Amino acid sequence: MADRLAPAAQSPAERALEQWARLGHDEEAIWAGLVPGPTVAEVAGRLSATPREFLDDAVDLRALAGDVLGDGLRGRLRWIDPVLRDAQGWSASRRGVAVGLWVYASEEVLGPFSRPLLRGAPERLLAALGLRLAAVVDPYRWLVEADRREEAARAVLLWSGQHPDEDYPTARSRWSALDSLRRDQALRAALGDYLHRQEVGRRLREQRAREAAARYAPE
Amino acid sequence: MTAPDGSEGPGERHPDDAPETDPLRLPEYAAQAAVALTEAERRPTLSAGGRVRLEALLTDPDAPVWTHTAGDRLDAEAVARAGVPRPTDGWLEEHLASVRALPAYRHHPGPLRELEDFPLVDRTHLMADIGGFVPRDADLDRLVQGTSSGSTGHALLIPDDLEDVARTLTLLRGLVAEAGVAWRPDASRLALAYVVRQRRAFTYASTLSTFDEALMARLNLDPAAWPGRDAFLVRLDPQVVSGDPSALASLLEPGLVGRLHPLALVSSATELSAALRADLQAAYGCPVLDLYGLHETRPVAVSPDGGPHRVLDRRVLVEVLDPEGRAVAAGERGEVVVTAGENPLLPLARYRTGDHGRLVMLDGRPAIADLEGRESVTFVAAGGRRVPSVDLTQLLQTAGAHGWRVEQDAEGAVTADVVRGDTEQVRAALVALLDRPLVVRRLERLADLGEGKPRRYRSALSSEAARNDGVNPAPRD
Repeated sequence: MADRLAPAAQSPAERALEQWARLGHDEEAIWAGLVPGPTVAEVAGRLSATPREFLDDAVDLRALAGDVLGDGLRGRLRWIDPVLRDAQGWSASRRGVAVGLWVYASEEVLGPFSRPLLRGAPERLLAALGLRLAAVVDPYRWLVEADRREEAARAVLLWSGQHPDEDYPTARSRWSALDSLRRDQALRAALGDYLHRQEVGRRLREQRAREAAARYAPE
Repeated sequence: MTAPDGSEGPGERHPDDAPETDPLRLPEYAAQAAVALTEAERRPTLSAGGRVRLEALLTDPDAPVWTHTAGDRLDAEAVARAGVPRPTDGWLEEHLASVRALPAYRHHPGPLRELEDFPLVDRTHLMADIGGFVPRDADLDRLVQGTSSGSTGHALLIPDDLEDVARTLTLLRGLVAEAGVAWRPDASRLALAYVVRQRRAFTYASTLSTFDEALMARLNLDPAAWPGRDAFLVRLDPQVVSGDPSALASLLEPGLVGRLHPLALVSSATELSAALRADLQAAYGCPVLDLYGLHETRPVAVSPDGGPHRVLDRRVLVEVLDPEGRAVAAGERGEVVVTAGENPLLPLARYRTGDHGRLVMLDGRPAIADLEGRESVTFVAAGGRRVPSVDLTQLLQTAGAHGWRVEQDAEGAVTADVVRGDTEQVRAALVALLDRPLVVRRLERLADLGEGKPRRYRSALSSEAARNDGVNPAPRD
């Protein structure tokens, strides 16, 4: 007996990546506009020092973000809120966002970075950590594995719009080597599928597609 | 004449577009409302001579109001490819590999080795995830939008492929040749008239790049649409006429019989009754080909003689399955399930058509006998005017309805169950169109229309109307 094609079952990681893709952040555009920021070692050090309470499963991201960002959250609520909502539903995403909030909080708790971390678009950094990076590497590993910690630190810098004290080719090549999403074939394919579906939908709606090609019989 | 976008379009005359308050207004049918390309994009290879002939057709004093502009959009390389059938040697293996890699199958546990391993898919899958059925490596620059209203009426946008659309002409040429008729370009005649009979319709004229730039036109045979109809048709004397049965039935009107000399008539979209086939053959003495297929699957089979529909010698494979999805015994009745590989933007494996028939062998080739399920219903308005269901479909879709069931009883009263959309707009349109006692009920979900393949239309007066114009009455499934 032939079965019926089941609807695609999505893993939490795929869902997180789809949520990330929906935000439409353009990595190439970010690379083109980076300004100097703190060093990788500084940021990595802060990651290692993430307090246990930030990683607690019971953490409420909205409340935590309110405490950490204060007035900064009120101004960006419209953009931050959807990220917090998406991330709250899956433990890895939740921890990823919480770690991002800790990096911001650490400037007050542990002292300022050598160059301040830009806070113009905190929702972008929080989404990059909670939806993109956490989908491929559990945030616990950011704290204990050197390469993954460096990857997370570079992600913090990149999505804040900053580069460490390195020339562009070095920063770019190191990022490419560490980027776990690029190396995870299954998740990369899932993300590609999502973007493909978006593109097909866009093309189908596009006016150029709507101008019918001549047809020759009723279909 | 030059259109505002710099293209040379027909645009000399425009239909008297209905005012916005008209309940029967269909905005998409406003003249040239769907035009988006330049003329160079629309007809990349058109020669100067071809353009002169096209312009003469467009400006013919008896021509209809052209509501649209369309070309085949093929460049020189595409013309060469679309002018011949796609090879079929080993196609199934290649096709199944393509289906396996579709995003829609990403999570299927497999294994998907043979055709029988593939799960059944149907229209609901395409409605939910059309992008998941388009190959990741497909050339989306070749995508054109097709629509299919299906059994519930909710339109499905289908990614059609430019070359595959153009290859339909190549298929028609092959079928006409198989019927023993020589169809060659003739500058004094229209090579192809694709006819419809609707209250409003896209009409356009174009050249056939794969057929020596011969001329074709999509024409609305509704007498109200076009006063110069008979004079135009008689003078252009189309070599081949394609259309659905209700449009082809118009060819039996006294002003046309005996004055047109078609080489062949091609019926598709809905069931062609034996009576209409016989009348058309008697009137024109030419082959009448009944083409079967869904927009999703592209053409699947043809009946050249009123007998079983022979599965076409192209990238298509037909199975007949029971309600549980198992193959029925040879020659037994079941649902027609199609594996379709002609459209590279929508490779389908085991697509449930909702139509039924028996798979038989005919002259050593598979054929579908007793094919049922294609719908053709005619309503009767106050005063006796016949209204094909396609007119209702257009208005219901314009009102945003997701699905519907419209029934007319023996006294002419109409009941419409409409899923979502603007109920008041539907009411006003149906009153204007049919002028009958009317009840419109709003439903919230497609499921409220009932299980299975709901019949969108039923008219107790359809049989009488159909007898009068030779079209088969209500669907038989």
